[in-house]
Amino acid sequence: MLVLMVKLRLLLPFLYCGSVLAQENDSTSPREILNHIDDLYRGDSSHSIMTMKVVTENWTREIELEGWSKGTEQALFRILSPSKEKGTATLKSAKQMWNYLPKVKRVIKVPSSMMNSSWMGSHFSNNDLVKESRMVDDYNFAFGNANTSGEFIVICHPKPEKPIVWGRVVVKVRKIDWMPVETQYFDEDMKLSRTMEFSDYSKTNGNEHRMPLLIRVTPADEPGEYTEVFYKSIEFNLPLTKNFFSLRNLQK
Amino acid sequence: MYTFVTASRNIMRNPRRTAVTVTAVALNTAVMIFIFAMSDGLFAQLIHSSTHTYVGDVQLHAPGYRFDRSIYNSLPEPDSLLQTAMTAGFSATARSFGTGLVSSSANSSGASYWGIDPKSEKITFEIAQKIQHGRFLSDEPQKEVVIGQRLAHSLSAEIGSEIIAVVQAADGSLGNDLYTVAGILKSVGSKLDRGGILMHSADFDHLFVAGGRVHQIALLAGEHGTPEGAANLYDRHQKNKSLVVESWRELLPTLSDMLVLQEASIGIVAFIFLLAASMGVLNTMFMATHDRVYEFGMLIALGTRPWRIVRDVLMEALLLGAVSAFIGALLGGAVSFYFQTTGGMDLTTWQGNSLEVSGIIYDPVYQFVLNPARILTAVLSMCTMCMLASLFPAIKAACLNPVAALTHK
Repeated sequence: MLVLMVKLRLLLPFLYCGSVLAQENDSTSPREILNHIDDLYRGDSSHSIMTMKVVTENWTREIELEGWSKGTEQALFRILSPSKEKGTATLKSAKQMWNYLPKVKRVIKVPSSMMNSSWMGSHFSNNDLVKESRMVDDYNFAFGNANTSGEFIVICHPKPEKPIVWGRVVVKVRKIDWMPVETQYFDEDMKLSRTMEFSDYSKTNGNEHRMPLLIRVTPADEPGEYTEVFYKSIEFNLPLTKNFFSLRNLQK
Repeated sequence: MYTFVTASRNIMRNPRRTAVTVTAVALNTAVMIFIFAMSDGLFAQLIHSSTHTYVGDVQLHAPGYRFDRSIYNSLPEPDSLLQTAMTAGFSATARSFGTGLVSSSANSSGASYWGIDPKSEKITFEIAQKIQHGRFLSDEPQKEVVIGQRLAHSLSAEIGSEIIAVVQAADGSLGNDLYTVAGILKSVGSKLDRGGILMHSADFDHLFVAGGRVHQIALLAGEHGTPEGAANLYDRHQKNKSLVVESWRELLPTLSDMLVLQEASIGIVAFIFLLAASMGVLNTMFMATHDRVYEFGMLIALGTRPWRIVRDVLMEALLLGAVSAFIGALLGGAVSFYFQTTGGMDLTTWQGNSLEVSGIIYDPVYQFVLNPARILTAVLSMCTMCMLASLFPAIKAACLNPVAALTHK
């Protein structure tokens, strides 16, 4: 965090000199931007409360969730409301995923064949949640030409040996503070598949630095549909043990 | 008339040779008829097992449903559609479909859920009898399921096992509930085998919050109906594009194409048998005419026109062919009839249980269907081939030089 702050201060005079100079300034590398984005919602450990709104052609749904994560390997999400679904939870640990269903009081393991299907009916896939690796490890990346002068654009292509469904990922961040603005995901035929937009850059309870609190995922082929996640609160670096992310805890 | 008498006398001049030829041609005819009967039986059995298990002669869907399989794309007024079918003498049943996850204590798998009306399925289709273990669904909803064979295996599920269904309900929520396995199906097609779960439509409605949506109506033409008749019932609906009517040929294109291909290949096999038989006749007629060179010479010297010689030889061949084909037809017909009336040829020891090729199930007990038109075709074509085969020796005999012929011996 401190290192980041220092780097930003160093950058400030250069940033206002014009986009070309800033792009060639080697203290801003695409690698750093990608790492920054990966760490934005992770930290060493995190605890958050969010609302998720899903709008589809046939229904609209809003749920409130509580989530915990530790490193890249473990995460636990639990639905707080509405009461019909309260207690439904998802546990991710070491590349595997389980769902707890309070209505039938059973835990089911999500088979690998279902990893690309939607999580909790949203436009996120199960894979999106279990993603462990870092973008700099999975992709080849380079700066692209920005449409506006206020943004950095990093164009990423997955490395051939990595099991990634996308053909190309385009990351746009604000030059001022490296806050993500938009991420575009293209399929293997280079057709736009979905867009993630970030907004509402504010501080929340328990968090002294700003981050985008609103994330909207819009699928390209379903007009009018989207999923919106809003962080009501998020805090980092809590003392969470490995046992916290257990099947027993899933069923609480 | 005399031609006939002469021909028959000539045939009997060398009884042993005639007997051998007759046997060869008769056997060829018999085998041809046997193959036709077996093939017709196989076609009938394939069509029957494909349509009567659960597919039906005709199916109704909302436009685009077969492509997108969306739970929201359902049939309008399914009850009145069913009623239209029943009053016209067809049997019909309604089904709803949805996909999701199924989980047992051992494993999870993707599944295709069928919401059915057990009572009408039992009356209309044979799937209710294709139970390997346990039983079919009860008429009343009891939170029980009947699952496909391979699915049961991958879930390590048995009768009485508990399974959890987790699905995306139609209102967006996560539908989930517990069910008991009441029955496991025999092999009925890879889609159902691998991921099929049958449940009462009321249980389905509850799980998927489906609001009574029906996605498919399957019809079987009864004794007096035809698939075309079924399609005509829904002319008005098809005209205003509120639903799509498809016959089994469109629903099972693999089967339809395969049957057409099989028909063609049977034709080729039959032709080969005809060719083989005609070679035998050709050889016999060559020998017969060779023996009688002196006789032909005498006839030509006395003024017999060539066409009469040709006619006599052809008549001989025809008689030979007709008698052989008749015997062959009796033989082939008798064997086929035997299998037709005693439940078919049981090849279970060689084939084992049902064999599935590209989604088509072959029963190990092969049925036979005798078709009089086929028998007539076989006999007539055999006679024709015999005549054609003897054309060459006949013409050769007719064109003999009488002087050379008379001095041949």
